[in-house]
Amino acid sequence: MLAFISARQAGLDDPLRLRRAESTRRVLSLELNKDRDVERIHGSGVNTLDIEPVEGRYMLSGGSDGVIVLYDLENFSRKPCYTCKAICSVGRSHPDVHKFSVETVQWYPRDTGMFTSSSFDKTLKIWDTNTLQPADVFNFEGTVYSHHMSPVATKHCLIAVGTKSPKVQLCDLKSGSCSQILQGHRQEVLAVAWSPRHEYVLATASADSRVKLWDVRRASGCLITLDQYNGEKSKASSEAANTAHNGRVNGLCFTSDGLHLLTIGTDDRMRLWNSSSGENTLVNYGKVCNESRKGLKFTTSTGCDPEFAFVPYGSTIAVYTIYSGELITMLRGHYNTVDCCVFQPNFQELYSGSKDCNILAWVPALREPMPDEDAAKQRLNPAFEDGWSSSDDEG
Amino acid sequence: AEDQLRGEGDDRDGPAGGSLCANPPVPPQPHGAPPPADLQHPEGQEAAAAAGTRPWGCRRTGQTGGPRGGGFGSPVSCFPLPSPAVRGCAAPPVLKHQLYSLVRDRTAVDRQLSRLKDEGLIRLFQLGFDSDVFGVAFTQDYTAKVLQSVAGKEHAGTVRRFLETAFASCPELSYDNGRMLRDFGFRDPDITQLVNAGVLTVRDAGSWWLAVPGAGRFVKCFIKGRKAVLGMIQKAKYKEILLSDLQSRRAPSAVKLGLPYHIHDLIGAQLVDCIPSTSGTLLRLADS
Repeated sequence: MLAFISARQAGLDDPLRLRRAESTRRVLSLELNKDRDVERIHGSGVNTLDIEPVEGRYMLSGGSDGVIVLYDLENFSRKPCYTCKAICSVGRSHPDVHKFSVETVQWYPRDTGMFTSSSFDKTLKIWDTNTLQPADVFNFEGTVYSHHMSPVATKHCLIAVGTKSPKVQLCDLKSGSCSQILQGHRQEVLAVAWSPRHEYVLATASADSRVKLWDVRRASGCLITLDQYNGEKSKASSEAANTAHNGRVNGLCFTSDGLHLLTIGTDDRMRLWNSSSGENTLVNYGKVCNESRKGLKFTTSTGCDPEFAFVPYGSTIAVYTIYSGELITMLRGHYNTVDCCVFQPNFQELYSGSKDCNILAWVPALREPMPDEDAAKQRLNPAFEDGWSSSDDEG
Repeated sequence: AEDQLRGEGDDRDGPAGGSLCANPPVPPQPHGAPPPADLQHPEGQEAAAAAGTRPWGCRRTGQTGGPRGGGFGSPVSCFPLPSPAVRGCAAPPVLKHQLYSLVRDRTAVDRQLSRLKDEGLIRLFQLGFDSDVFGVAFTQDYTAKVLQSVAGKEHAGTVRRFLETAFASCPELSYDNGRMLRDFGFRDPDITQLVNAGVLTVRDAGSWWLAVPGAGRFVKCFIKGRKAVLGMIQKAKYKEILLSDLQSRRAPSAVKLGLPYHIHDLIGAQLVDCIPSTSGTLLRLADS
């Protein structure tokens, strides 16, 4: 660390290098900390978490009972021991609360004045944060599994919604219509994700084992269907042609630079794809157990040198390096299946929600303080000092 | 990776003084899945060092009382004549997931295998019991084995023609009807002969996997052996057992391919988790 600082000071190193090295060191030392806690409000499993991208201060969580809670993650108490308090919540007594389980919540990418939530009660609600009233409601024919709004879009305000129907719906916030659909899948759409690099590129994953990349400006069809065998027809049986996985595809996540896409499927595999060519990079992560019937929400780190993927694995969280496929560690702490996790990039913290109604905060372990001899002497409380002296002269 | 396949077979040379195995110092093991220190093998890139190493370092006692034909032979010794001790179960081929147990980095194994396959040095083939499981063999060993098992039979000529044309020209796993008929001039009766000889197995209507003769008997021995070894771990208290303990046990009679072979198979297929502990590596049955 001191070497990095002095190299940066002398101009030998790029300033980004110190930041990346320290971020990576912090992510590698993630652990549960007795000083950090998240207040427990949910009475049933936590399905989804989202941290706002503007300041990284506020976190939303959605539960299986339809409750949405808003937490403040920032510690202004000047004490190391801190519980992240819930500021407000849309509870069961709220007149507009979702009737069934909330599957996805997401902050509006530009500011915290608005957030969106979608649920098994076939609705997508747009909430005003200050008044906690829904500003708009979109109704669908099938249960909504997932929705996502583009984090980099400036020219459009589309929300992509994946429902039980094979058609992906695009809802426009500006006009309030949801007339645009993307056709191509054959079964329910379990996960959708916009690319963080191109504002018009959308990836969708479906129970028919296919992952498709779309350009929403194009009317004709998808851009690419990801193929796990990269076009080699010989490797699989002919029904498995052009599939991304050998089972339902449950989760999608773009890496933070948008160049690669991670997909996870019920065949217990995770695959890394090149998002511009659709090629399977054939990185082998081993067996990534996945028993979820609906979507699995996993996340990637930002700003570290080997980037990490945090994947819920049963009741633990598995941490993999993305580009080499190595399993770094398993974070154990939850009592039941972990459903979602989200990474706070400013402090390299991980928050995870699980069926045991808890949200756990994984915080980088602190460095051991250097032993200091003068400080040790000062710490001695005068009440514990005895009257005996060590010198032989005094009586 | 190529040298690993050859290097594993040195146990056929008998208990000669043994080459020094350069097991590198093991980095601190994170929790979870990576293979144990004593099964570890230097990365495929260090092919030179790999020539002398074999599973479990230099311990000659690593082989249990299994048949001499079993265990990790090199692909040359993979297909010897079956020893009389083993009835009807030919020496086993190397399975692709067993390599994951030897080399820690799975991605490197996959990439190097596909590079060797493109160069034509090795072939992957289907064994028939799971579409995810592939056997790996050097091309010349495969050809030798096939010709030997088909020698003297009437379809030897067709098989030889297949090996020289279709097999040699495309390094793929399966062949479909159109290509066989058009490009290589095989007719339906020829294809039936190839299937009878065991060189092709049916995949779909009109397409076939590359296979190896005698695969059926091998798969039967393999599945019985795998179930027996898994049963040994299942009967243990807490369903876990130290690796050294498992190696020193006597293999049950159902295990004809040798205990080391099945241990590599279980670890590579992630049916057991390898947990480092102070008394060595612990194998625990995986949950699902």
